[in-house]
Amino acid sequence: MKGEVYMRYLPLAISFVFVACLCLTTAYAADAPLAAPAVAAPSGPTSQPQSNGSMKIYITSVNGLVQVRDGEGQPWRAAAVQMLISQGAELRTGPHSSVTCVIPPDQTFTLDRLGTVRVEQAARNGNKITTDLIMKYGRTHYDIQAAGLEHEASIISPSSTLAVRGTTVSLFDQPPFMPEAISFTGRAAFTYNRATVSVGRKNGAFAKALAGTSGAAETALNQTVVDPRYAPSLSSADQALLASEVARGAVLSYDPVANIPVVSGGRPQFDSELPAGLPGSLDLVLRWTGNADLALEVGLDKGDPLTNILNGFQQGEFLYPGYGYQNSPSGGHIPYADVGGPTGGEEIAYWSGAFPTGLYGIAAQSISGAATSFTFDVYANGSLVNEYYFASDGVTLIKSTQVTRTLQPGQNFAALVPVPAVPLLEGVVGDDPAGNPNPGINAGSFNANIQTALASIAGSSQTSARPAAQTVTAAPPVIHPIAAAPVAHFLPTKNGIRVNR
Amino acid sequence: MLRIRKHTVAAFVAGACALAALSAGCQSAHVAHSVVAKFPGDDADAQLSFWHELANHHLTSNDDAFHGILLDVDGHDRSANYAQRVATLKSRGMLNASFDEPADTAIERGTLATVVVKVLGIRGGWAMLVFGDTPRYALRELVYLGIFPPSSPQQTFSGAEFVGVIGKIDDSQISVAANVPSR
Repeated sequence: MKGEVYMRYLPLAISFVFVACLCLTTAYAADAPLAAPAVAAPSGPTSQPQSNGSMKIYITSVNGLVQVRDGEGQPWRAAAVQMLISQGAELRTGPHSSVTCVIPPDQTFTLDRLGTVRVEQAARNGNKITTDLIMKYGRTHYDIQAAGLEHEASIISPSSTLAVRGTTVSLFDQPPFMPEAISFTGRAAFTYNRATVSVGRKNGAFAKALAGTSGAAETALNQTVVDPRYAPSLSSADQALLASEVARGAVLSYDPVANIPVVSGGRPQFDSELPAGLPGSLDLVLRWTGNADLALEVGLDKGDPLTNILNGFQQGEFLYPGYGYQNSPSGGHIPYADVGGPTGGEEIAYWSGAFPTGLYGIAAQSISGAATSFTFDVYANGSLVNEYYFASDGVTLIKSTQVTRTLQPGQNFAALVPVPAVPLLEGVVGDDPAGNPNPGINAGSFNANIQTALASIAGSSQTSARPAAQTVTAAPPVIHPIAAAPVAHFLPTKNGIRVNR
Repeated sequence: MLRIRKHTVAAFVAGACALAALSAGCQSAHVAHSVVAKFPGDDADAQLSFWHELANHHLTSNDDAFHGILLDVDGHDRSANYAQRVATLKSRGMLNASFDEPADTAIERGTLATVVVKVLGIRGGWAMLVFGDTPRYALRELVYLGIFPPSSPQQTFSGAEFVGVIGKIDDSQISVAANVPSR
């Protein structure tokens, strides 16, 4: 019943609205004088639709020094509110100045301080409005409320173009700075150096794209500065690890090339300290005692460990301290690079929470410094796991839950670790003759002088732990092998596994 | 014999060219046409003509730069000539008391940086606190704040670059949000 009533009055209502619109359009089409009282922003003609052809533009706001001219070669004159300008007009502003113009019914643009813009085109053809603003330099904000009309609008500067369709945007292009496009709402296309990127998204929020980037995401990333040593930029596990390193006399810095926090000086954890200081559910630890810089490398062949051993180690994931290899897809993480010092160092790779089952490879690479004793430990859920490696004869496969060897300069050593343990392998492969576990690292692992220094560190306050770090001799610059190309020491060989290169 | 002579002459010419290039490289750039001399007034038309004419020039002179700074800071420049502009800036502590460069020398970024940090009241980081607002550290502070592009204190400004930097100074003084069209 209600529907019938509505339908009865619907044609009448439509006719009334049509006649009203026609009257308003006709009234607006008659050229009003520039400062006619009838022209009032924004509820006057500035909000009314325009007929086909060149569109009128109203200045609705003037701040500071603003001038306008009707075209190139014409004299400049002061801009004023409610002034009517047309296609071809040019505006310029001084310091601390701006001018806002409205192109009825739904476009607004603002030229900011120290800029110049020309309305190259402002025309309507049926339901389509084409607007081109040529900005020689400066910053222009553009707001289009897509009120049922099709818009093809752009702001063109000497080096970039911002194409706009129903959105609020801003284009800045002024030497000596890079052009930048901002979308406050909606999506715009930003073209620079023949490449076009989208800025913002439909119903989206603020997005800024700097010229030469791949878009707003890269711009935001480039402009984000987080000090990697700043505590909130680290996970709680990494914070605890670095605090532990500093407590043992290490000095914290950052390597911008390798892109990883760096610790130097300090000493490795002793065997007795290690279990309590582990950050993850799976931890692979490299510790060394000599004045050398060693790098921890971890490879992972996911799947059933026994099957992987029989098929040959196929490295799927790789971890290395820095150069983009400090994180792996399954969650493996190396929080810092330890460049060592007189009392050795320590590097840890760990997984938090669930970790992949598979065949893990752990390797130590000598980057610089003297020959040194080092130790591997792998903990899964807090328990030591057997590591498999070749004996000194290079043929006999042996196992131990803690591996201690000596690494010569420039050399490397690797072991394989099935996770979880493979009972068949544990029964077949014999223990390391040096013991299972091998002797690890404790206070007696260092020479007498260093033992004295360590004792003084242990017996003093945290601040007095610094002298050990201050005695660190800066190692000569070295090129990490990983910087040139990732090196995998867990490559398959014809006999299935090869753990020593 | 002829070959030796040719080589000798070539070496002499190359050396002379290198010497000329080196000696020319150590000289300050000079600006032939002063914009402030063309638009010296304080009225809106003169000011706007000054800024937008300057943007077309390849170099900014000390005279033009100081006129621009005074226009930006005060909204006017009552100084009749370059000496008065320099005196005005020195009296306000914006310009180093030992500054004595000619009006037509291209302004160096370091010199302008020392003026800008005073205009904006920038205290800077520890280096600027320790060593003072020298051209080097003033410039580095402004680069850090995004007001100057990455550059060295000895570089000069084109007119468009100078206008762009003045725009950045304005941005740092006025909230950008205020210029965004209201919604």
